Amino acid sequence: MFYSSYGPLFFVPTYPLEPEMRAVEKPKYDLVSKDLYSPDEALEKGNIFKNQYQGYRNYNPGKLEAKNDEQMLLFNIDAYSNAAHDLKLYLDVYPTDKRVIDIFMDYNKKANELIAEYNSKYDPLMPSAAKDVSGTFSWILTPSVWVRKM
Amino acid sequence: MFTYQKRTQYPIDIKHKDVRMARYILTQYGGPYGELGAAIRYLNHRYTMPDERGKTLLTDIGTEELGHVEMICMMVYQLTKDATIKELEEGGLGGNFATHGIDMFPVDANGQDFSVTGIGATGDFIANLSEDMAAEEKARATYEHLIDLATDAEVIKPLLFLRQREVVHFNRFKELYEVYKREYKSK
Repeated sequence: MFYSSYGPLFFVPTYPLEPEMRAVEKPKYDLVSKDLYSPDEALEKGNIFKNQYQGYRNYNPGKLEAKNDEQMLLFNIDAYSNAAHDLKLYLDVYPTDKRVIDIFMDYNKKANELIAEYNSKYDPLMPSAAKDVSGTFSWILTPSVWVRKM
Repeated sequence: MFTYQKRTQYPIDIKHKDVRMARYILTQYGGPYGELGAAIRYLNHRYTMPDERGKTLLTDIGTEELGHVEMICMMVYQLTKDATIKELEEGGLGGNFATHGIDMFPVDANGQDFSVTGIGATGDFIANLSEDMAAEEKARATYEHLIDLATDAEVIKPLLFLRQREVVHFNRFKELYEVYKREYKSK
């Protein structure tokens, strides 16, 4: 009480103290799976949300045509991991949307299974799946993305 | 931490050499509205977001942008692969060759070096998020110019994909911005 007349004794840092997350808001969109493109279509279009897709002029992104089994598997990996990623960005803002969490977990599981399948059949996509192939570290057997020739 | 996989978010496989187009696309590597600037911008802004939603969203989008930097460089690489010095000169990359040889270097379409001058960081998360939204719109507009300039479907398809990602990111930033405006009224 006596000291209060001195006012604040300490410098208040300019960085705000981090408040707890306040009331988490309800999502603006009432998303159900029919409002989402399939993982294949979401990859082709670049957007999983049907109501937010904005095309450019009359360009049509079109289908991705795989030339062989390896590329087909890779496109499937791209599709499921891209779909899971897009839902992840949405869930970052609306982390309590249970239906979207379920779809995210489903797509993520599928992507991980496909990546494991790829790593077992072909040269590894990530160093954690590398092994000894006839005395060579197999991570360097996978071509870098820009030199890949399918 | 970051981990790496030898694959891209969207497949890119350009077979036809086009130095002219490579020079234009370079602007999304080292230009003012490019992917490198976007990655730096978001990965810096994330530290002062008021809660985990903002910190996490900016980390996730910033990470995706790093992948887009690689996709842009990959397009430039494939468009200039096996080009002769004469072809580089005719396509407008003679000056670039004089300075950097055939190395990848962040410049815009006119050869201006990458600069952080256009990247804002205000210490105010509402101002920062507004800048992030603007950055997405500017990148979208640039992709539209590049699509207008492109003639090869193998180039146009990844550009359409990357353009659409700007639309998605803008929507996420806008949603977060509106949520924060309502929840943190003092700001």
